[in-house]
Formats: sequence, C-alpha cells, structure tokens
Amino acid sequence: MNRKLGLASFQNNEDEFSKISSQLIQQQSNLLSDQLKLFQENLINFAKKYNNEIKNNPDFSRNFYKLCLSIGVDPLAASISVKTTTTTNTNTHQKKNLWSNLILNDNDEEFYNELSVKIIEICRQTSNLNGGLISIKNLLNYLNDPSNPNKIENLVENDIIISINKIKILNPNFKIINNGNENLISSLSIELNSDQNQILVICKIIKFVTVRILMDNFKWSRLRSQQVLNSMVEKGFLWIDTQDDNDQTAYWDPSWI
Amino acid sequence: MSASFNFPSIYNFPPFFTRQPNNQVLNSQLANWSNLIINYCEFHRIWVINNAGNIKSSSGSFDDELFHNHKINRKLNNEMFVEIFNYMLQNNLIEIFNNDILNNFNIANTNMNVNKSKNSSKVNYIVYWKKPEEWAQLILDWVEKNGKSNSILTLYELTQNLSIKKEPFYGLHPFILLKSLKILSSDNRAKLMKDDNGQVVGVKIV
Repeated sequence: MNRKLGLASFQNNEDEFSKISSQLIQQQSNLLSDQLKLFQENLINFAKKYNNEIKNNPDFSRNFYKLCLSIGVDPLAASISVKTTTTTNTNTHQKKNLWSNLILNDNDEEFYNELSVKIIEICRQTSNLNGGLISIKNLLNYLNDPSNPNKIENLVENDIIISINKIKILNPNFKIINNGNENLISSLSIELNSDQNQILVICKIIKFVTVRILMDNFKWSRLRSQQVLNSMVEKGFLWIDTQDDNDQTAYWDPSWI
Repeated sequence: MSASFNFPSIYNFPPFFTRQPNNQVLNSQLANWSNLIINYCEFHRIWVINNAGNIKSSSGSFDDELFHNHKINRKLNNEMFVEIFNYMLQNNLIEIFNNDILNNFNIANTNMNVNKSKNSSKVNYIVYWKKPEEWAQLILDWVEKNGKSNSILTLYELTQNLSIKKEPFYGLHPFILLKSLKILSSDNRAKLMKDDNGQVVGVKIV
C-alpha cells in the first residue's frame, strides 16, 4: 500500500475533516430549524390564544411585536411582500405571513393596497396595447415577471379579485368581467356585448379569428362578423394581421403578445 | 455576429408587423418598434440604418431579421417603415444622415457604416441609442479621468485608437462624434482644431 508522505499525507485527512464538518453543520442546522419550527408553532398558538387581546390591547400588541423583533422576526416587514402559499387551491386564500391571518388585519389592508397600486399601474401601462382589457392570468404574468424587481411571490387569482374590489370603490370603471371562460379586468368603462365576448373566448383558444371563421362556426352573416370585428379593433381589443397565409385579415387578441 | 439579440415577445406577435388602425394602439405599436430598433442597434453597435431597414456596419452586413421575422413569416412593409421612422425622428431617436456635414471633418473611414446607394430615394438615418449629449458627457468624463484636458486630441485618438477599445465610444460614428464635439464646443468645453483646408482634425477639451 502506498503511503503518502509529507504534506500529501494530509490530503485524505482534509477530505475526512470536511466530510465530518459538513455533517456537523447539517446536524446543527436541522436541529435549529426544528427548534425554529417549534418556536413558531408556539408563537402561533400563543397568538391564537390571545388573538383578541393582541388586537384590542395596544400595550399588549406592542410587547408582542417587541418579542417578535427580539428574536429576529419582523411581523410587519415580513408580511408585506412575502407570501407563503402551500396549497394550489385558489379558493383558500393563504395570508402572507404565518400569523398575519390571526392578528395583523391592518397589514392585510396594506398588502392589498400595495397590490392595487401595482394592478392599476399595469392596467395603465398596457391599456394602449390591449384597449384596457386584460385577463387576470395575463396580469399575474406581469406581476410575477422574474425581471420585475418588485414582483410579489405566489399571487393567486383571488388576491387580484380582492384588490379589484377595493379599486372598484374608488374607480367604478375597474371591474371584473367573466366571459364564461376566464376572468378579465377592464380598467376603462367597457361593456362587452355577447358577440364580442364570444370572439374573445375563441381567440383564447385558437389565437386569432377571421370573418370566415366566425361565419363558419357561429353561423353569423358576413356583415355581422365584420361589424363586430371592426368595433373591437376600433376599441383596441384586437390587433389586425394582414399577412396571414389565407389572404384574410386575421384578428388577434393582444394577450398573445 | 457572435451573441444573438434577445427579441421581445411582441416580435413574435404577427400583427406587430401590420399597421394597426386604432390610433392609440398604433402609437404603442410604434413605441414598441422604436424600442426594439434602439435596443437592437445598441446590442450590435449599429450607427446607421436606411429607410428600407437595411443595416450595414463595420462588423459586416446584417441579415434582415430585425424587420423580417422568418419564424412567423412576417415583415414590415414600406408604409410601416415610414411610420416608424417618422415616429423616431419626432422623438429625436434618429436623425437624417447628411454627408455634407462630414466634408469638413477629417477622420479615417468617413464613409464607414453608410449604405452607398445610387438610388436617391434611399435615406440613411443615424441611430441615437445614446443622445449626442450623453456621448459628449462620456467623452468629457474620459478626458478628465485620463488627464487629457487641455491637450490636443486627434479624432482618430478619440474613437479609433486601440487604447480606448473598452470605452463605449470606441468606433463612434463620425457624424455623432462631430455632433457631440459641437455640443461640448458650444458649452465652451471644447475647441475644434482645423487644418489649412478648414477641416476639423482635432479637438482640445478643457
């Protein structure tokens, strides 16, 4: 067996050392995270138990916050832009912070106010592209855009709906339109008639429509088809493409951008 | 071309290549085109583009990918070119290239990047992915940082010398260089040096 001499003999030992040290670190961090979990559970139980007291007694809540802060948990800051969603069920809306759903109702307000501002911003920015009509799915894409430094994690459709209901109070032009297939947000005063609705639904599926497609599928007359499409182009809901292979103008939903 | 440009998603949206009839939509379409052109030119360091969308640069000629999306088989027509370039002219993002301005301007390869065309209907545009003021500031900063104030610099030194290869204004088009120097000169920060024939050969930045 070759025994390494000199410095080289330490080579193997170093590997051993690093293995052991990483094991130790792993153990310690497991232990710590267990403890942290336990502590959080206790804290939540505590918050549950004294929920009303915390809400109603400012002195008590101040002390409670102090406790949170002293162990390095900031109940206020952590709840604004961090949101832990553990379930895919969009109906059960999970609050942003472990205990915010127990106590910090004011924080909720803050979160949704902030979200509302962002929604309004996006609606404004994109209204020239889409005529003021944007699907919630699309809106979520903008909000979750990884290149957006202010993106909010794990937003769900329900969050948007809550925010829109808030905005609605200030600006009744903001509303949610359900076209049977999905929820759209209109930020301008828009009324969609059923023909226009149907076109938007079909555009979601096959990207674009033509007069021919409408005539064949809906049995609309040429005049009716053309008229609805023209009205939607006029309002900026659809973009036209005259370079389609079949020599017909194609009408596209800008949400495909 | 080494690295390839990352096109925005709207570039793959077929109607982007057709002029939109709704005025508001058209405006946002033009703004998107204008952004795309500026970003593309900056990425490839393109200085000149002609009114048919042809690009020539010192690093060779470009294919027509910017205005012709082969993947979706859509390209811009002349009507849209006119709209887009008018929009960019109005927003001072491009300027009509005028060779006369360079006649009094002595620099190597004056004709670089310019599409020579016998067809007089072709117009060349200088693309300002940075404003002349910004270029002027960059040059000024470099001069100050490198202790070249008050010394006479040739135009070659300012844009072609290998020692400035890392500076953003390396290879700067003479048209833009002249514009920038004139801005510095009108701020009394630069003095243009002319030779016996009245040609600008150098500059002293103070």
